[in-house]
Amino acid sequence: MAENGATSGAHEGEERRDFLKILFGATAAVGAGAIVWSFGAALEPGEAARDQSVFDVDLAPIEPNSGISLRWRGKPVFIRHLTAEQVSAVEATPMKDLLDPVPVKQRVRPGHHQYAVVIGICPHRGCIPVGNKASDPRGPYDGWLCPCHGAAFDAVGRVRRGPARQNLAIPPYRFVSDTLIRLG
Amino acid sequence: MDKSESEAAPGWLETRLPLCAVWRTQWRDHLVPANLTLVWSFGVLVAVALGVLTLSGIWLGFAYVPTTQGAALSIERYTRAVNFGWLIRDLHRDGATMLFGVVFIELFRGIYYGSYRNRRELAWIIEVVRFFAFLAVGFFGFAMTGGAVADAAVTIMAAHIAAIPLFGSALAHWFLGGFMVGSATAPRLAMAHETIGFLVLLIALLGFMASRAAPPANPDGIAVPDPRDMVPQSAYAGKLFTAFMIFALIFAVIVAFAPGLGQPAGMSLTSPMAMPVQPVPPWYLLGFHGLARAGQSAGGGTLLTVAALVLLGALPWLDQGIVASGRYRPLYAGFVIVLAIDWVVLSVAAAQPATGIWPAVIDIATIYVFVHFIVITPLVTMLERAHPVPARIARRTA
Repeated sequence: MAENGATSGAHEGEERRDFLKILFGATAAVGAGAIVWSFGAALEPGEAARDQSVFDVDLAPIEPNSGISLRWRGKPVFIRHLTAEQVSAVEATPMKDLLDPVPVKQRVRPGHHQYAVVIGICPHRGCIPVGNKASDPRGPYDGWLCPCHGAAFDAVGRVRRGPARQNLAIPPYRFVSDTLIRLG
Repeated sequence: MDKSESEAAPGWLETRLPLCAVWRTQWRDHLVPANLTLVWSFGVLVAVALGVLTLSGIWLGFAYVPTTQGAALSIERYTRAVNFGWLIRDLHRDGATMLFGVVFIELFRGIYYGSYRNRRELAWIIEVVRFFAFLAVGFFGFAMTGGAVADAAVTIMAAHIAAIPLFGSALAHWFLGGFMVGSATAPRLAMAHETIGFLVLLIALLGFMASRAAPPANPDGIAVPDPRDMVPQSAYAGKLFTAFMIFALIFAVIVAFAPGLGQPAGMSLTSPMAMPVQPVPPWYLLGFHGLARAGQSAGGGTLLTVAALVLLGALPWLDQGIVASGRYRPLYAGFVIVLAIDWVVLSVAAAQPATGIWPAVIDIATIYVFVHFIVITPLVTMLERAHPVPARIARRTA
């Protein structure tokens, strides 16, 4: 090229070429990043799925000593209304008796100890435990009982008997009012 | 790139799988004529378009529901409810427009510069077969979108297939999976679209090999260029990049400002008891739609469409002249330009309702297509007084 003839010009031209290379590389990287990002985002749940993943649940109709089961993000969620005796029973359990020791206050929301909200999937092999209705078998710890391999949980979903080794998971939720929670 | 850096002692992988060597010998250092113009970049643009279509097609496949009612609804849902679904859907739909734009120009480049000459007959025939496969993929892709217009197109195509003698009606029922467009049809259309779509990649590879085996085509039509007039392909990096940027710019403008350009709007769902007033295919099928309509009957339409493609593939034998390139054949070049205009007229007329002047326009444009190949091409070769072709590639100073 003509402007590369002089010595200083050649040096300057080289720098300019480096700059152009960096500029081109950066532009191409931004473009490639935009493609990768949009194609990746397209595989995530869309807006419609996200809208359905957050909703309110009214707890008022749940009688004490019974529970309900509902679908949240395709998973079963159990909400149990504990009696005063059941609350004091789980609070009295010594930590050394638990397989996955967690105090009750981490399993319920402050001021709402009578409501246990858990994901109804046994951490052992993924079966759905029974025990929401008062008439269901609830196992020896008055909580839930897994029908597949016999794991037993207490009334706030802590595992008390194997083969499961972890407590029932807790979905994200918060109390909107005393009898209304927002799941998700 | 620094020579010593790239051609240093080959590493562990390179000695076992010589990818860099293939890249060097088959692409970077491969010698090509020094006079290639911007339209010679279009082979690479076809590859770019195929890459975009394959990637976006796989992504659309994640959401496509191949049922009679589900097809159109799943595409609308993908466009509206999925993150960037609008973008991916239009990269695919308008990617087809970009592909056919490039392929049509590439075909006319071949006709104009006589790229089918000089032992390139088979490369040309493979290009025509690839073109036919593109048309099939385009048709099945349009057909599988469902909705009233697409299903009408499938019904019409079934009638054209049924008109093939002997086994036509059996083939049509096989194509539809029944006697009418029904629940078996949509999965077949989708599988045909995807299968032929991947088959195109193989056909393109064969075409590449056939093209490399013959002397390189060039705008001067010089049969075997002088070795002094050959440059490594890497010399064209700037030209390829320019062509790519123009391609990308047009593509981006269509996706952003005119999504679905030249394609029928779907959205009306199929009813077995009614048809849309006038089903019109995407623009790249319109010329063949015109040939089919000029055929009057379903059988005549099939015959004219197939005959046009066969004549295109037979160009190396229809054109027996010594001079290949339109640059040195003023009369022939003029007729090729008329053919291109004729194809545009045919496409426009085929999109109009069958009233007034339009059926006559379709007939005349169709007749001209056949006259060009059967009468004009051989006759011009005999009568034309071509300009002298330079022995070496003309040095044009830009």
